[in-house]
Amino acid sequence: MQPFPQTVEIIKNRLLNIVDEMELVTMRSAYSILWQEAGDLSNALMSEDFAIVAQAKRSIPFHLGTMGPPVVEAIKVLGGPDNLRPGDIIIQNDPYLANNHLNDLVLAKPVFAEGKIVAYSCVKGHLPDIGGGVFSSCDYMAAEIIEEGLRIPPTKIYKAGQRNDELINIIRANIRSPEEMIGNLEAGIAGVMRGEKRFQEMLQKYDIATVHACISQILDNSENIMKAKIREIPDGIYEAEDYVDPVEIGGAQQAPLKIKCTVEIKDTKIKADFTGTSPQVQAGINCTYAVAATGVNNAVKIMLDPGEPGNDGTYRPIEVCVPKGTLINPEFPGPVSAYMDTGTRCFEVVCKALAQASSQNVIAAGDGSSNGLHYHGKDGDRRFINLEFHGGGSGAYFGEDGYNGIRNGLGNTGNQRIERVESELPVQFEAYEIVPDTGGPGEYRGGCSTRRVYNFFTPTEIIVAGGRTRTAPFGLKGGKPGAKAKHVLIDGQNTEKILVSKGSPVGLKSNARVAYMPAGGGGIGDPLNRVPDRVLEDVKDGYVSLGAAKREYGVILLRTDTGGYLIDHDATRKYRKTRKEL
Amino acid sequence: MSGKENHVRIGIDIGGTFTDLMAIDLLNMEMYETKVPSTPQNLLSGIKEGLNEIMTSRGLKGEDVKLVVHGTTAALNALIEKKGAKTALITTEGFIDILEIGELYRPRELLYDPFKPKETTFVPRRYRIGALERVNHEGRVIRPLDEADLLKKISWLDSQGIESISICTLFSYVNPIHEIKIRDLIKKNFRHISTTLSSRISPEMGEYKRTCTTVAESFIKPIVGRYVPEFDRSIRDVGINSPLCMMRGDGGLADLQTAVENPSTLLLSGPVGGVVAAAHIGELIGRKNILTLDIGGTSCDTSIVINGDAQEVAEREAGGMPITGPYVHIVTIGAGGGSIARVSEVGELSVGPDSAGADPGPVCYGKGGTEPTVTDANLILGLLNPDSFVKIRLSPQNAWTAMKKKIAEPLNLKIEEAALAIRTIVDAKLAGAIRLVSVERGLDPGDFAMVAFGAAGPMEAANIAEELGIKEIIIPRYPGVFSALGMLLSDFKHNYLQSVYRDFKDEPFDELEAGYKKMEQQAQADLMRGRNIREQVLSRSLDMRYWKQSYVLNIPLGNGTFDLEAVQRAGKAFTEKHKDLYGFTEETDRIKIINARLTAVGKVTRPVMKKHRDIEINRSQPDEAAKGERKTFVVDQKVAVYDRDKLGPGVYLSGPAIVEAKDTTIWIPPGHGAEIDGYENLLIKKTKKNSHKGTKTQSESIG
Repeated sequence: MQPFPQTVEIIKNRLLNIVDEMELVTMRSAYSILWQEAGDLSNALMSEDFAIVAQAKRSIPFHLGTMGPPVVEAIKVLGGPDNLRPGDIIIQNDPYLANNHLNDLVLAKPVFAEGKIVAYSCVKGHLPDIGGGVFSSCDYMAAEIIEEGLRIPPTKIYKAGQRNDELINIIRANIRSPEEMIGNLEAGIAGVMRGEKRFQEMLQKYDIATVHACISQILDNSENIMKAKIREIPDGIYEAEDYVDPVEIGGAQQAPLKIKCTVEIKDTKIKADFTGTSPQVQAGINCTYAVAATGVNNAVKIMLDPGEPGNDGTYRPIEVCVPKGTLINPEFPGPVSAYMDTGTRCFEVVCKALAQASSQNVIAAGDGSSNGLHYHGKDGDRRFINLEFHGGGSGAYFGEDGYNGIRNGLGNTGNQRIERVESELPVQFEAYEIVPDTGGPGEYRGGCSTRRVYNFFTPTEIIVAGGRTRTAPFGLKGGKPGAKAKHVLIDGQNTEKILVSKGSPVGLKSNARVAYMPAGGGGIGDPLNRVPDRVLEDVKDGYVSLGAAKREYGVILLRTDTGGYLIDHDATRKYRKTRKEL
Repeated sequence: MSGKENHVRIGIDIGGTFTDLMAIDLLNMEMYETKVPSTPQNLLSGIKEGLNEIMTSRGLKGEDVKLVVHGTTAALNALIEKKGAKTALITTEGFIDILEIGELYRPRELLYDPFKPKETTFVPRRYRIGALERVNHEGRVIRPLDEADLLKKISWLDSQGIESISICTLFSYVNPIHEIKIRDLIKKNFRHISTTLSSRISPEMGEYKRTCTTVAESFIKPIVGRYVPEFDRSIRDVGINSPLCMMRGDGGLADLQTAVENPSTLLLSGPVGGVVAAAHIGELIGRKNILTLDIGGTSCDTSIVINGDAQEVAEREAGGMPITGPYVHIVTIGAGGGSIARVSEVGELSVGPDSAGADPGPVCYGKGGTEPTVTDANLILGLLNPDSFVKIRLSPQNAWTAMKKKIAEPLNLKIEEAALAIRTIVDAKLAGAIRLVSVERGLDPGDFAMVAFGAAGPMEAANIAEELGIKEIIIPRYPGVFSALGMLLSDFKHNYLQSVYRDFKDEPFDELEAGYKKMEQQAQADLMRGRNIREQVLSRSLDMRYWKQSYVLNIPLGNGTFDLEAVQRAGKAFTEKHKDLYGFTEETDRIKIINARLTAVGKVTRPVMKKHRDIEINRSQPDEAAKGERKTFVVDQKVAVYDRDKLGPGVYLSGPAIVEAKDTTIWIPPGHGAEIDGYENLLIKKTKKNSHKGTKTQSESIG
């Protein structure tokens, strides 16, 4: 059955409205700041044959490819769709069943019509804690997944409309801050229920065959668009590699871990092969195949078909090959709790490879990390846990500078309001600002990073969960890398001591001060070709220092009597000429 | 006019394309409307023309006019076009970049499109200044303000030609002492620079939104400060000496002084008039729950009236920033008569969000447009008369040619089929967006009546209503100037807020009660400046949430003193509302109070709409209004066409029918009937149930 074009468009808009409403319900009723303000969750509708057809607009890229497959795996484990009943809601969080890590719960509710499943309403969200040896369950030192927290195998958390309280009690008994976590779970359930309800309403107007035909058409259209975009790129093989900061085990410095990708473009197909990537490690920074594939999919999507979010049709022309036993496709029971930077690097490596296929359509690396700072402690009798995620600079792209102070890569959680954190926790901030000279120099400059300075009033334990402290975010086409990330403990004399990232929790005495700075974005093009006026403006705004204007950009600025700046054009021309001749 | 002294009130709504005027003579309740073009360069230029037209045609003198109310897009334009004051920002040292870092995450538009062109900032980093000071969350000063250091920095700003300074320091909503000191410092030394205090305009937790609101306000302050006196002068120039009021984004009126002092409250000034008018008409004819549909050339504004009340939101987005309000909850969707239809490379047909606007406009305008639009589709379908627009004759030939080439041929459809597909898509898209407005409040759109206005609203209303299960559509007598009418029906309104942040049952409540008392005193003083106020209504409410949540629900408190009982009632109301909206409640009742709010309304003596009494619905066809018949492509039979100006109260029309008015065309589908009620509204109701479900036919909608 070939549906009419207007019906396809109408059903598509309607599905997008449904997922947006699910997102609204989930975010507004959630309990963790991470869900409410940071939006660390995704809402989607999946077809009866397991293709994500609509995903809410703010869905974080990490969840793109880790939303559908875990539902598929869960249904398999539960004995197939025939074992599902109206009113069932499935839950699971197992990375070895296509999930990303234990903290992310996947919920799915089948939508029944005329006794058959016609779709699934799905919500995925990141719980700030899922138990295990370390608060926030972000355990770099874990040797195997069993240490990382509660693994919930595919189970029905609602059976034919009846809530499975035994399961909820098991979850409650195994995690920190159970009220908050269960509150989030309730919000997620509210989300899948709303999605199911709205889908049912749609079926009152459109019969099942029409909806099914439209969904197929929506997926096919997206696939055909992607194929057309791939065809525009010259066939060829493009290789790139980059590195992930290792976990320092036993005090010995480890070598950075390699991610290597060979992208092959042939007519309308893309194949990304990660042969040559480092083997899996006995630390929580492996990422699962589903995450690696998500990185590839997102890179291809934003590079070739930027705009609205895609669906599973968009990703059909993409093949991802990852050897087993590597950092990005570990064998059980490899730990994966802090997989985020590794996953983001898969994304960046594909962007880097694709940049070779075009002179214009290029984007340099952003801060490359989720830049977490997790902390917990006691405020009087009350125990608290908080996870903050920071943002550095984004990579420049051809024609424009990167953004200063923004989330990058596959994560997209927001920051937390200073006034709220200070009102609720024994923490006071001393600064939250943009750091000059952290954006990678280039004809188009990488975005500058930020610096957030904490004063923890009470003894607090922290986990520094950030990457790019060892290798900097790359620039492209002659652009320089952004500044590396740097996290320090500041003592009473204002001397700074480096805090090693990706380690065990660090205990701090009261009134300890911590400054957290992610990496800056990479630049594009030779900085000596940057328009001098843009350098001048950057100096006026303090994104670039006077010294860096000369050192990095070859622009000579003069001070005026009133404290302003002027370009010395002659001196700049001469100086740039000699620099280029070197 | 007769020798009796007239009492005329005039509403003026200045939009980007047109300036609408509506005058009501309170003696006989006659209404006069007119529309004149606006010029974006000088929005006020059309005012005199419009006023002169009304006054000469009706033989009015300046002294006949007793009140003028004005809504304008001037404030919003300044923000969107970034044409405002040269603005600086003073914040706590170390936190100057909060404006730029924002909420850190990539906004939706950027998430899957990193290559989007960047927007310029309202305050370049060089003009963001750190004050050496700090107040903590309890309001305690932990670092006194260094005035000498700040004075030096402000001198530098002054030397750079800064016109306006936003002041937003951390925790100023708990203790504003440093913001006040900074303001006094500027006032004393730099009288020519205007200042805006975050603690005054947005005294609530959340440094980013507070900063944005403050910056927006100081950015538009000098613009509004010049605009309002100019408006005053334009009115005086035509000999009117009546009091003047401005319409505000919360649906209330303000005297000119209040408006100039609170420019960001003018941000939604225009479109709220329509919501107020819709609520009023609903009240007159006994419809308490209303969805509004205001479709223009580029966009559609929709809003919701529940139990007679326009709904408010605490903040809205404007110029890329969140601005705290409250504002009437109006959702704008990028779909209107000028929305462009396109076929993608893989054969997807989509409509909007880009629009042909007024210039070049739809293809049928013949002004150079080449992309077929919704208006072109309606013309091709025979729903629009080529002479239906006052100032241009539409060209069906142009529309057919473009539709054939751009849509019909690529999709292998007949031209009329292509046009129908476009109409169907845009109606479904609007219905989807409107559905969100009601369902996000846990309500079913089918329980609402729809009031449709704007140039294109009455054309699409019936289809959208069908899609949403809405049973009744109300098309007011003057849909083209409906917002201007609403301005004459508005009350004076002031909003106050105090940050609270405490567990809801923590006694004592003296401090809260004292806070309310203080806000009430201020309210009494502010209402003194209003006009025609017959009654004051002060309402207290609380913003509440569960201890760990972020999104608050606003719970009305009712009147009376603030005590444990009142709090427990509020807690119960909160729990019920939460259950309604999200389907669950917390077993414990750890509820936090975030803000105390007070709304002060000065109810005005409203014009009493004239009602034709004891009308009987005449089931015969109104011959005197008939303009003949027309073939359309949405139904098989010929469609009768009527002249709106000749349809009196009591008339009944059966669908399918087309009613042509001066500034809009109304579509009444088959299976529907329409009657003109005692207030001269045209009410469309369904007469037949849908016989089938499904979409097996090409014309899946009812037209």
